Amino acid sequence: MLDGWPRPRATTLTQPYWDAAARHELVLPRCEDCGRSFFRPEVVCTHCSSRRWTWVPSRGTGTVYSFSVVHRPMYQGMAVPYVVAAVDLDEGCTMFANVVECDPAEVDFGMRVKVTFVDYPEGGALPCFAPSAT
Amino acid sequence: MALNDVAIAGVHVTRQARDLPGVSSMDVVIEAVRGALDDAGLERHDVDGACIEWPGPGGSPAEPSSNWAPFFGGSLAWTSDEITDMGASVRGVLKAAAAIATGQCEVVVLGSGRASRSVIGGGQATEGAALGTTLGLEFADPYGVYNAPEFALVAARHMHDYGTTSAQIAMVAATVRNNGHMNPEACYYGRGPFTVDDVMQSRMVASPLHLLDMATMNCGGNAIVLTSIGRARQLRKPPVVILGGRREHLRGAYANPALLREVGAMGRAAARIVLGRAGVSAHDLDVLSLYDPNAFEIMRCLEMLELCEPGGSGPYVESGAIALDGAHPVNTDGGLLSHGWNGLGQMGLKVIEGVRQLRREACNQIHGAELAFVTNAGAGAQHVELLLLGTDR
Repeated sequence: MLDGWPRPRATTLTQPYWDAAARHELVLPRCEDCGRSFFRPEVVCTHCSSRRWTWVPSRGTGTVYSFSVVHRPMYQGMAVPYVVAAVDLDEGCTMFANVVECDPAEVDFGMRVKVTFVDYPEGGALPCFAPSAT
Repeated sequence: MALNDVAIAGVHVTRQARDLPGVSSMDVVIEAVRGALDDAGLERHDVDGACIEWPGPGGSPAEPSSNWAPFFGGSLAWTSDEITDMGASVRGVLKAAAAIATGQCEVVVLGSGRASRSVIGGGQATEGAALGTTLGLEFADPYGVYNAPEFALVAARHMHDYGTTSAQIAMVAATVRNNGHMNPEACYYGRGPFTVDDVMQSRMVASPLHLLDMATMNCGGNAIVLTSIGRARQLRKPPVVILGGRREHLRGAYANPALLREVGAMGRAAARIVLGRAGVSAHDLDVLSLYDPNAFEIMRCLEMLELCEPGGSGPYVESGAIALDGAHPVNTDGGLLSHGWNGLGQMGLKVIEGVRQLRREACNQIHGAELAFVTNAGAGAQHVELLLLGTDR
């Protein structure tokens, strides 16, 4: 699926996220001062500006807040259609993702999803989401 | 001086076309700049402030606007090199006006242009890739996200929350494109008329946005000249006054998804401040020049301006309010949808249509227009910039 797709370019800030993804684990920043999670990862907590945050494992469950079925690919050569979504994670932050393992016509607002990892052939993986019963 | 002591004294739009063979981007920018100065009745040596793209070759890439100093016959007192200021954007016009109002300079030219669709401006080349692919966004790029899906996510949720329909979005697109169909300067001149069905039958790009719901990509340039209102009154054209402006930035553009629950009301408070300080209400606005990378953003802006309730833009558009004979005509030149999206200058095309309406020079002239409201950016970008223009009274 990821043939011809751009690869994430990790920084020192985000390397732990992508290392965890390679192990098929979804981790999120969580602030030690205000206790909230935020995404995408930033140097300081986006809620309270604290620098004291850590990576914590996510339950990997969430809800589709919005989605778009993309027919014109980002780059020529990427297979279409694909589904771009804004996923509200149960931890209270939101991220971009692709919804996979279903027909695009099955995706709906408020749909429950669970993280699934799509492997890059060269190593590493991309957290995506698939429909979930819960 | 305050912002409303500053006026737009000159504008120019070069030919807009899908391709401009035989000219360079630099040629286009120079044409735009010269045209705006001629329009104002000013000479190159009158200019002491610049915010102008420098496509090169030559000059220094690091501070493009400074390269224009010799062209203007001497040194410059003020420049801006932010690409989001160039193209005579709302942001650039507000910064230039503030510089003039605070005495940092007296005559400012803003401008940009491109002769090739593979260049956006500021050195960003796209080589045919979709708009928004060069931004280096770690948590967006890997998912195939670019500008169209970024905005589409907001439009899609609006349809879910409020029952907005594809036909309503398409009606906005058709209305604006039909303005472009009648505008000899527009890329889509003569290529309509467009019906709602025409828009809805065009291929889907990123649901719910069809091709004809979205801006056209083209080449061309434009420029604007600002100066004090006193100076402007001595020049060729009726001054168009900067009555006010303001922005709202939620977060860095495009890095994380734009959510309707956050961006739906983006700019609403800022608009109240701008209109309130000018002593007018949105219902007094004669012409709206709303940033339209896609037809949905127009709808969001109508709600932002509180011309209708949140979520009420669909029925509002169906009432005919945004048509040329409606209460609040929108994008009378054809907008980015059909006049053009020409690299950086597309932001300034919104300003220029407001200016032309207030000068009584517009292609689809709205009778007696005195107040124009201009926007740049919007939902998917998670920032919005607002500008209120008025006639000189």
